Amino acid sequence: MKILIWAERKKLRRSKIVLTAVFATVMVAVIVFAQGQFVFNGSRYVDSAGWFMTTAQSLATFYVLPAVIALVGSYMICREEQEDTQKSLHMIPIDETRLTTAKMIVLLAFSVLIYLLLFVITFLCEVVLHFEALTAAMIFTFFKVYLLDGIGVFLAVAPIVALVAWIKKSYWLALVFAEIYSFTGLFVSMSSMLKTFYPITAAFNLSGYYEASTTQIIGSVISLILCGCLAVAILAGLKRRTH
Amino acid sequence: MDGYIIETRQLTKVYGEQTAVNNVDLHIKPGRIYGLLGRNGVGKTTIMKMVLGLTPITSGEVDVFGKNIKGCEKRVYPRIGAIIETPGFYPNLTGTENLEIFAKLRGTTCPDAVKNALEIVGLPYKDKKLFSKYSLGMKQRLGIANAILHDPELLILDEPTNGLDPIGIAEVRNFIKDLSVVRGKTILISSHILSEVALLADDIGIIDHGVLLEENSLEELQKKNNKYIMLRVSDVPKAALILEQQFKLKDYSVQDDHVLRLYDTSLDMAAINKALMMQDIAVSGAQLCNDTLEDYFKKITGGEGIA
Ligand SMILES: Nc1ncnc2c1ncn2[C@@H]1O[C@H](COP(=O)(O)OP(=O)(O)OP(=O)(O)O)[C@@H](O)[C@H]1O
Ligand SMILES: [Mg+2]
Repeated sequence: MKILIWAERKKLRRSKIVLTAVFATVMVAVIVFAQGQFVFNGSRYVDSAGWFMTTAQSLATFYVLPAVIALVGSYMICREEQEDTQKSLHMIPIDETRLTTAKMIVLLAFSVLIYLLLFVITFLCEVVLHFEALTAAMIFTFFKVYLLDGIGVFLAVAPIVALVAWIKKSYWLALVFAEIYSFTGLFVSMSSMLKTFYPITAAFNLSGYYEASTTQIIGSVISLILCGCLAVAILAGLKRRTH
Repeated sequence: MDGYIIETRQLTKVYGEQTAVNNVDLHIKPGRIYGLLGRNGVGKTTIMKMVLGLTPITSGEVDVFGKNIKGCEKRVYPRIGAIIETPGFYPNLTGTENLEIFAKLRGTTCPDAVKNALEIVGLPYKDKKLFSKYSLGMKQRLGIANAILHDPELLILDEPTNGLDPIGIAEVRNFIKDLSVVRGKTILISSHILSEVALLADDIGIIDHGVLLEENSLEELQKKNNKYIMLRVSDVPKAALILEQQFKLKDYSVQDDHVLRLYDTSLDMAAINKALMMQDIAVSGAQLCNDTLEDYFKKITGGEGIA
């Protein structure tokens, strides 16, 4: 398994899609920062400590990162077929279930890393802007939010990754699906009932960005775990189909 | 034990309406190079895929290393190196990086495996060029390198010289020969180029429209294509008797009701002619023929010929 994960990581070297993902993350930070220049009640948004870190992760999750993560995941799974390496892997032999598991683990790591990248960017900006106002507890809370966002969003988009692998069309479909999916989260978040269970907003409940009761958090966790199970079920079915 | 590395019995593959491979019995002996020869689309790749368990077999059986392949593909894969058609690699990585991934996934222990394999196929080690920028010939070479990376006993190479320049073809031919002669590997190779197979293979299987028309060693095949005298006579059995008795001739064959082939071209045809006439056998033609392997293939593939 370690070797499979090592190989998956190695395969992403110089990958344009990964570079695009990193670029998109940086762009989100830039755009949110630009938005923070608007004045409200006499002061700029960015002037209040923590605003940047809070807004960046929420907007990133509604508009950009789930799509990007789903894209990278589908790309990792679809590429073996598109680049015709499947035969070579099959003849090593590599077990497909283990291969897919390795890919999903790498995707989880990627999802967390992308969120942590956003965390580092926003954190550095906050430090520059208002160093005095920051407390260690606050930083730690944000770190937790970003980290759990990363894990939660991975679980939320996992079924989309599996589904696109199933459809076997272009992995760009994953981008489209995940974009619609995460954008819908904006509307869902208006209902407190729906937002507990809708996977994208459930990630916020889990991470602590939304204030949520314990029951709501449990509901969200269950919803995300179900997402994970759904993805596993689709991938297992996919394996059965190819045999 | 019958000692075949690969043996197929009544191997058949049907794609929808089309029978791509039809009751093929292949026999591949250890340590030899077996050339599977046939034109485009006759089923060479399909046979190889079935031997490797890459595509389901419609009917028939495949034994590899003396065991039925069905169900134990995974156990024999480490002993086989194969390229089927043009193999794919990760385009965002260099050739060396690609091979390093495959070597590691295979659990290859030899630290120089990648370097050696690249050296054999004539690609530079640690080159900066990405696979996506490779030429067809380079891709093919990398495919071969990947097939020999783990030093397998059996190589199955589907048109390995596809896309290579003449010098490259000669290089590949030489090291395939080397692998067989020096290292005792068994090699199954497919090609649509007759001259290639004739230069390389020990045994040849000729396939046309999914049917194995002939399976023989190269020597035997070449023997069939020696020079011979074609003798057209009115009564073949009687003529044969005379040839045997009067001329002590053994090296001949009966082609059909009216044609004999004499493989000794130094015969005194005038004397033979005369002797046959004396016995009331009409000789309507005597002709020195010189079939090449190519003529032979043309004949057995029903006139379509080959490369
Ligand atoms: N997946 C498939 N579905 C349907 N028909 C197929 C499939 N693969 C191959 N065939 C058909 O089976 C026949 C044999 O194909 P195959 O690829 O084995 O030929 P080949 O001898 O390898 O030819 P070439 O020299 O061009 O590589 C062809 O007529 C081809 O159209
Ligand atoms: Mg072929």
